[in-house]
Amino acid sequence: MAAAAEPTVLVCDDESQILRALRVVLRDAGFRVLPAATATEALDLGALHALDAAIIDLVLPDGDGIEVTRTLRAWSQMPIIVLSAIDDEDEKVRALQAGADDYVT
Amino acid sequence: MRRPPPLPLGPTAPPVALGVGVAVTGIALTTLLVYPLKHVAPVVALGVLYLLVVLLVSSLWGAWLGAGTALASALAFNYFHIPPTGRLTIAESANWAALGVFFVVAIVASSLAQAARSRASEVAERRTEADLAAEMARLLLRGGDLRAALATAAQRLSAALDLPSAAIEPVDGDGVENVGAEVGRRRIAIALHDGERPIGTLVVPAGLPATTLARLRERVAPALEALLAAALEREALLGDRVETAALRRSDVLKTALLRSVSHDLRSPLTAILTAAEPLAGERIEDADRRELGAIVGEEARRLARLVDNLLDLSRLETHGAPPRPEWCSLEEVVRAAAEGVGVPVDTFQLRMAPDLPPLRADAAQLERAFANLLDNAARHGAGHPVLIRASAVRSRILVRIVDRGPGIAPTEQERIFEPFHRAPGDRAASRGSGLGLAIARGFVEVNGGRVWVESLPGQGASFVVELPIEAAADGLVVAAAPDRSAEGGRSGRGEA
Repeated sequence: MAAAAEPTVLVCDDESQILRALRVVLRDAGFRVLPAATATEALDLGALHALDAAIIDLVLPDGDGIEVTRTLRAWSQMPIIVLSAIDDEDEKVRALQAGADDYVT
Repeated sequence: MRRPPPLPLGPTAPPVALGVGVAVTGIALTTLLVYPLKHVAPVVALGVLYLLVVLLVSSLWGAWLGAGTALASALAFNYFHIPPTGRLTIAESANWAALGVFFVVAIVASSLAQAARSRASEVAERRTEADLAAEMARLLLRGGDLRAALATAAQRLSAALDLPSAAIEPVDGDGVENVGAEVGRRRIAIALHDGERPIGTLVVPAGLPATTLARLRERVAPALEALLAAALEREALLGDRVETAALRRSDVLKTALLRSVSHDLRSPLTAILTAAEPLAGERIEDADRRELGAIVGEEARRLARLVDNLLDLSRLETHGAPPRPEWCSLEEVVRAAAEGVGVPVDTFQLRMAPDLPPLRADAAQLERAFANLLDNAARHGAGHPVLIRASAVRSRILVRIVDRGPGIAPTEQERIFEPFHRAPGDRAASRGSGLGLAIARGFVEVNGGRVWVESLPGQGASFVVELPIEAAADGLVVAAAPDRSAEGGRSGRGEA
């Protein structure tokens, strides 16, 4: 069970290509990647697995990435990075207030 | 609405000559009538009979002719009936007094009749003017084409005032020339103002009676000014509202454009940047390199499509995409569009009627329209093939692009053609720009066609493109194909 030693990262993005690219990049960097395309999938994976970090897109088809961040933060003190195509100061503040550690556009 | 006056007292008197004739005849008949009556009543008392003639004449022809009739009556009464008869002298002083009283009563009665006539005439005029004002208010304030309403109002005005003609011209710019002056020899222009501002002109023929002209200037023109000012203000407000609505729409569009573009441009860029960085590294496995390379290529193409779509939409919004019609084959257009979508070739199944006539349209624009419709169908087709059927029905060609995806809710079926609109819960749409269907509709419509969607949720969607078949140019064989497809004789939006 060598895989158990790898840190686990939840990646939630509705853009399948970004998800694919992040999976490859993070896997090569030594992470185990749990991909999710919706808020529901992200929260399901977060509830089932012990996560070491999470990368969450803000705009999701079934909800708000901020809400996912807030829920995950209530469960864990892991690093959470919000990833979004929206370069907006208010969104950044909301994300950080919800418990994100960083905001990447 | 216009009621007849209760008395035969029209606003204009009958001819004076007729009045003189009536007066002479009436006096003669009365003089004759007094002869037999002298045997049963005192002759002086019978002078009252002449009053009937005086009243009749003065009420119809005015006080002056009435006074003349009274004088003639007194003379005739004196000459024929007051002793000594046959002479204009009076023997007894009592008869002088009787004749004097008669004359005074006749003059007073004549004046009263004239006053009654004037009042009746004025009442009739005012009633006509009130009816006219109400009619013009209805015409000018109901909205619609103001110039047409003014033309109708001018007709009503000329009919109500018995004018040969009348015209009402609004002022479009800085003012009117010759306002208030005689325009040539045949027309008179009465300036209409809203305060100091000239707002129009009432043009009537020259040579109208002075009373009619005064009536137009003093009573009709002020009412018309108030109505025209209100109508012009209403028209200006309506124009402002339309302009405001257009600006608001443009503003909403720009906001949506900025939000959508910032998101849609950044998403493929993020994917490309994320994938490109490890590609430059040395410690990457071949399989990962291929996958990341594929991601870069796909996202770059997606970015290019988005930029193309933005340019297309921009041209359509600014009417900068005039079609360049040429004779073209629908099948070639659709095949080229299908090949450009970037999905496996067997995704699209073409079922074109074999004898479709050529189209006269901008082939490049139609290809862009079909490429967007096919791209949309492929993304929403749930992995099933997309069927493309085309057939000629009378003077048009119908193309149906049928997918077997989740379908479109009725409330969304028109909105999906709006730029940047994405149906709620539509995950496949996140791969699109939200512009494709707006562009498809734009290009189809500038080429004289229509596009709409028919769908039931859960049962796929059928996008229908209707294009007109024009008369063929010389040398081109065009056979209006009998409809042999499954669509039969059905047509239009009602198709299932």
